[in-house]
Amino acid sequence: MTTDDSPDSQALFEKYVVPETEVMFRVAMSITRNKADAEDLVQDTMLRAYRSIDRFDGRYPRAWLLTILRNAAINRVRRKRPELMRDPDLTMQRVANTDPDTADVEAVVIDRTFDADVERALHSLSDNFIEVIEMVDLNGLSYQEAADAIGVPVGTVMSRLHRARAKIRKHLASSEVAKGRT
Amino acid sequence: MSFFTKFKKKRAKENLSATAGKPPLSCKQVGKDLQSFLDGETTEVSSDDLKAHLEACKDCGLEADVYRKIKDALGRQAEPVDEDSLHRLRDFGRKLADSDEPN
Ligand SMILES: [Zn+2]
Repeated sequence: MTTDDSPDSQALFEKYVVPETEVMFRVAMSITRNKADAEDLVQDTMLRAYRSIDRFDGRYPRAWLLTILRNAAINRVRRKRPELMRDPDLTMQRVANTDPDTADVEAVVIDRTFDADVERALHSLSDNFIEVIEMVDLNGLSYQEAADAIGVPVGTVMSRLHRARAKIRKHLASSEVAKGRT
Repeated sequence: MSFFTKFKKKRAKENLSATAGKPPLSCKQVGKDLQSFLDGETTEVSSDDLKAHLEACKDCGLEADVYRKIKDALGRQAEPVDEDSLHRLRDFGRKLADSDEPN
């Protein structure tokens, strides 16, 4: 690496990569389900981004970074047992342990039952559906960004996501019916 | 549905077409684009036409409400990110940006 292009790369890195740290970490958490692994994955992503920033055209930095993150994650999965990557039960436990005092009281009263129903419905879905919902609704990614993070065409993200929400909706409707009967 | 409701709905659609200068959207077209529209993504039909239809058509308006509620509830499932981790990572990124060597 010559000293001539270094300052430029550094400025580009500050401009494009550092501001995306939180999004990268959220997506890494969705993939690894583990704070330490997620941190490792983001660091790995930053290193890869740093090495290739001269070739980045400056368009859609988030999509670019999420593509790098996905590739880094694929390398990690090869070294790890994939069945350790997801544990919905842990998510359920964490939510069950949430202290209601820390949340907005009014919102809790109104939404707790509905949110719990939605969460149950979400975890009744298969991993492919949960994944797109996490990327778009929980992590706040656009369809294209989710496509880059997951490694599927944007049309696949769209159809999976829409089907996933329709399934949640159906699930909610049937639990409403069940409640009405008791 | 009463005849009057049907009539009002039909008239609402005709008004839409008059203002948009295009054929009115069918509920089917709206249903196809609804979730993309709520996600702020691009849609096949114009978002103004969708908005107008959702205001005029009770069924599609309710459908939109349900999906909005589900999307909001899903958004609340996101857990707060660990601030220490973020701090460490931003630090790592800045140090990387300040370093001369990319490794
Ligand atoms: Zn309609």
